[in-house]
Amino acid sequence: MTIGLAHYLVLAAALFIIGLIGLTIRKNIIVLFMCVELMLNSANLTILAYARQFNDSDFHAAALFVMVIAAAEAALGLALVVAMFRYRGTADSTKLTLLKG
Amino acid sequence: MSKEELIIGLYSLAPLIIAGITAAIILVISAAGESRAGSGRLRAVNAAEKLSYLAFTAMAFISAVHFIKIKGPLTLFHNAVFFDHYSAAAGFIFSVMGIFTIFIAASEMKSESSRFQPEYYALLLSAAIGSLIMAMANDLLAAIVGIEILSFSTYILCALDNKNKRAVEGAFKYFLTGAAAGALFLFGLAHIYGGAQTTFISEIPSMAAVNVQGPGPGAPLLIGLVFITAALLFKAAAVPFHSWAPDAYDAATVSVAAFMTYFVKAAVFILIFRIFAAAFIFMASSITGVLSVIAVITMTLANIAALYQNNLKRMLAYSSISHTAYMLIAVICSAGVYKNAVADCGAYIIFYLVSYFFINAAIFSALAMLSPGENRVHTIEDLKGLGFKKPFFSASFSLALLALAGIPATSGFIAKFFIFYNAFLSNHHALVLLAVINSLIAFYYYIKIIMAMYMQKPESGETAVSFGNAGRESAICLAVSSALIIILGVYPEVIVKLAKLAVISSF
Repeated sequence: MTIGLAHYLVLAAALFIIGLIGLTIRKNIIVLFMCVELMLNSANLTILAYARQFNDSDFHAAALFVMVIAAAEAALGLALVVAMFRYRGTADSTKLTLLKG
Repeated sequence: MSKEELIIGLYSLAPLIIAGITAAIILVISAAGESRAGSGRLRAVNAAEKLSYLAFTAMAFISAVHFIKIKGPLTLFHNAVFFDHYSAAAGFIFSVMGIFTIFIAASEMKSESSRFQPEYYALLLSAAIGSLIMAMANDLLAAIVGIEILSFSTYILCALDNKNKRAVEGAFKYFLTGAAAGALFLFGLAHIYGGAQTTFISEIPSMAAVNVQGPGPGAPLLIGLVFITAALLFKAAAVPFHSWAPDAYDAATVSVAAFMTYFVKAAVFILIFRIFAAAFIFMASSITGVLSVIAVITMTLANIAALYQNNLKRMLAYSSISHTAYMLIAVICSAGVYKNAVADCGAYIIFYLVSYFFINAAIFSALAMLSPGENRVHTIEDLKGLGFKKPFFSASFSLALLALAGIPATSGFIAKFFIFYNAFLSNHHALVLLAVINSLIAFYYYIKIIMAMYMQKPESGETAVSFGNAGRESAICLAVSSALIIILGVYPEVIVKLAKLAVISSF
């Protein structure tokens, strides 16, 4: 069996859905954060699978865009996680209940 | 790249370049030491404020020149960006919004007790860069970069008061949903590339026609469109993607909440309309049904939630969610049956954004006058008994609230009227009916605030809030915005005509 476009797309979609489900059911804010990264990487895998399929070397560079965005997001997100841990002393997202209603 | 291309490229990007350089200078000023507290901080803030005024004014001026001088739509940098009337108009609107935001922020930034650093202004400018990229984007990759620049700046603005637990929590919730939305957009983009072999907005219709065999638009394109729409609805805070908005508005300071209501919303809707009208109008029929349902649920849920709010900023957040739904109606109608649907709807969205901007500038500058420099919660009780003690404040605030509700002779009424009438022409009768009913529900909670000001006495005999000395800029902003609400309500033609011209020449 050869591994084709469809396999990559299914794998990417599975990763995306795992990330999305994780985002809704997990509680630890670091894990929530990892779920977002998983979703970004699944987008990356989809882009590369299609670019390879169309033999479009230009669009391989799009993957770099995604990585840059993911890196910037990681920097900002971890800064927020640290700020939150410092002032709240918890990494449990269910305890973030100052803002309600 | 030839020399002419380089020159016209620099010319088209001049507002972004100005914003970028000024933001960098402000960061240097802020980092230059001894500006962390006391008079050093105040001096740095003053310098940064002046610089950002200058930058935004220059950006507004250059965008106006672009608007006048451009002959027709151009694409630059290997098709990555558009340079047309639409983007120039958007640039002008964003720059004016920036100036108003600085005015509203003055009382927070300049009071002695304030902890805010000059970075605030650098972040405003970088948000303006992001929104300008969104307005100009032709490549969806450029669009996502613009979205992320705008969003990152907004997350930090929201968390700027980093000693405040509420601010950090609100910013984190905003960040998490925003990051998920970014991932949705990129996933959608990947599938659009898979369906059309291009990510250029201007090429998607023709490439899709070539690449897709069989009936319908093809699965990858449809998946892509659904994901991109979901991501943009996240950013625009439509139900079911709205949960971040009340928390983020509540956590942010008054000026940042104001910034989020008009600036972020305008940037997102300008991009939504560009993507929808220029790239996906040919497959609009597959998504307008869902969008209509989302619009109806959004306005209904938001208005009902707002009825039960006592916290003013949360209430305004729900009100802003319901206004998202009204603008969504115009987006839906741009795929309409009659001849000038795209031009009319684009013009009405731009008019709605402008009108909504002045109304919210008035409301939030009034809130900024109430308790300068503090990040405290404003409740409806705070306003009791203010009515006749502060006649100018209460009259302008009431006017702005009535405009938000859509009373005739204010810009809010005209903006809503255009959109509803247009939806009626496009045969979306049920949508119009539900939207009108919702506007009537919304009256109740706006009137509740006005009644608290004019008809109720505070329990302790004294009004609960004080007016600070630093509220001069906010008062100016309140006066100017109130005047503009009336002027636009009586003479909407100028803006509508210019907006129509922009949309017709660009699409």
